[in-house]
Amino acid sequence: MGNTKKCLIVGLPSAGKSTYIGAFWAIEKDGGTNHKLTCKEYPSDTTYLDALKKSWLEQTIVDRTLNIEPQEIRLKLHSESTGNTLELHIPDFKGEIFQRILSNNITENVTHWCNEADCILYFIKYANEDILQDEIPQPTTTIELGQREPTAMQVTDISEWTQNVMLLKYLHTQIDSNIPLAICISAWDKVNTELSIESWIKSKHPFLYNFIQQHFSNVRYYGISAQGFEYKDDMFEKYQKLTELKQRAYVYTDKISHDITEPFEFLINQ
Amino acid sequence: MDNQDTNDLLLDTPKEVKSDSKANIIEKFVTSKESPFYTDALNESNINNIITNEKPELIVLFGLNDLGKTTFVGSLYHLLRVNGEMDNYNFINSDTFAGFERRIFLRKCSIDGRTNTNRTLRSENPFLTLHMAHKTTLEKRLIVLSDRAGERYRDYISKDEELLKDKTIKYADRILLFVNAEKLIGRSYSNMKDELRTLLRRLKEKDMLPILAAKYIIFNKYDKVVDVENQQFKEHKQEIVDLFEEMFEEKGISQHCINSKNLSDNTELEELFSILIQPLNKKRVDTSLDWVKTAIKKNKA
Repeated sequence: MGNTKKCLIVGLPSAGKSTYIGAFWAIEKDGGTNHKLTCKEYPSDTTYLDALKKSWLEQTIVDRTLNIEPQEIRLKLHSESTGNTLELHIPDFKGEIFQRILSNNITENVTHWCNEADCILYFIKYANEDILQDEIPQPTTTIELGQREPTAMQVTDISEWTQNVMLLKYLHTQIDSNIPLAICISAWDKVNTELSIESWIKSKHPFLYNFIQQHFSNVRYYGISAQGFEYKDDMFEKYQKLTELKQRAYVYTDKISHDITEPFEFLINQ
Repeated sequence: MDNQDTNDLLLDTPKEVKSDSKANIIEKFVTSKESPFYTDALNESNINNIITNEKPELIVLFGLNDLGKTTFVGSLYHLLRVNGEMDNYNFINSDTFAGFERRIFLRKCSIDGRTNTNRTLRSENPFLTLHMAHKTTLEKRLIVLSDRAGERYRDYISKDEELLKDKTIKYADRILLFVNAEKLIGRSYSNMKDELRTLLRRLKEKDMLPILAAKYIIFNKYDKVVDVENQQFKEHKQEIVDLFEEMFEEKGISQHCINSKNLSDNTELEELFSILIQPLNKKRVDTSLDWVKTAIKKNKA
């Protein structure tokens, strides 16, 4: 199918993949936004999308314990710039599945999708600077000898920025390095900068930037705030108005845009 | 993708990779079952599978246990991952991210009291890699670090059999000779010096000392020395330097007094790291000592 593109959405647990998809469906499903992409028609089954949308509209965190299983999403999107309509296939894997790759537990379906992907939307959760434990003031109490834990390292002991580089390294071995890659830093509302997103990554996370520039040739960077802000009960009504105006979620390159279809538009028009 | 396939996405069942779509040897060994993490540290066999156009530069961290070798490596990696660069070279990749992270983890454990050891375990794979690229010339360098457990070196003191298994010391391009500065004074000094002499002599007798390598004497944990002006401390420090210079038959080996744990305005440590990141000025005289190729030949034999 010439008008079909397969997009792999990748990210570690809580990287913001599901929140973005929920916001995307809530904002774009009925068109009329003048955004770069619009949904052409409803997919045949929107149970999963609707569950994510509900959380986003109600300003609640997607409950990971709810029986909302990720599944393949098929969206028929219309590009305003090219006039083309195409179907986007998105397998929404759990972040844990990607994290297990780092422990050498690789799901066959992930490998399959990596080999099939036409483009990749990669989410990285914004986190504080990478610091060593001994730079943090330690509690004065010491752990008794009998309470000591074994020294087996868990994957979660690895710095989250390094986990992302490891995951990108794995992807690099599985995909064509020329395919479009959108790197999205989520929870961008927590970042206070006047730099462009690319300059910000280059200055704040230079090793991640070095790695990406060395290994992927068709990359674009985005800051994304799908939530728009930290959810607070006393701000609900104010935020709800922004939600209705479709001015809550935004993407950032060198300025804020409420057209959150921009990363997809880059990926599918390459 | 049909419904059956869609459901498979949810099963989450770990399976081994079967795809050979990209014949990348490194990826095969770093995902092998013997490595608990993707990109873990490498051993004597799989280090030779690294594919590079450049001759790797091997830096051996030499010394018995509890000298801070792993902390030294953890500090180097931490600075590289945070700054992304060192002395005109960008840090662009590693085959052993998890191996480095494990060393940082061991360092953390020693601080929060989760374990009674922060040492590299005897069973840990020793090899770690850093891929660097010069900022302007784009020249690429592969640095291989050998961070072997101190207990291994202790075995070498008394067992030829263990010593002869070590294929790396002899082929080092640089060797960092670690000494615990804190122990230059006190009850344990004499035995420390004697063990060091025995280890070096045994290596020399077997023709395993890297005579052509660049050598650096690292007096680590220097911050713990109560009085660096103490006469006995100075004499003992010089005795250790003399011992190294006698064994390596070389005068004027560079000395570095550092605290590898402190990363805040630690000029001495950062200067040493900068030296190590820069290429060696002189070319090795014996071109047959391309360590990786030599090791491959030995493995084939």
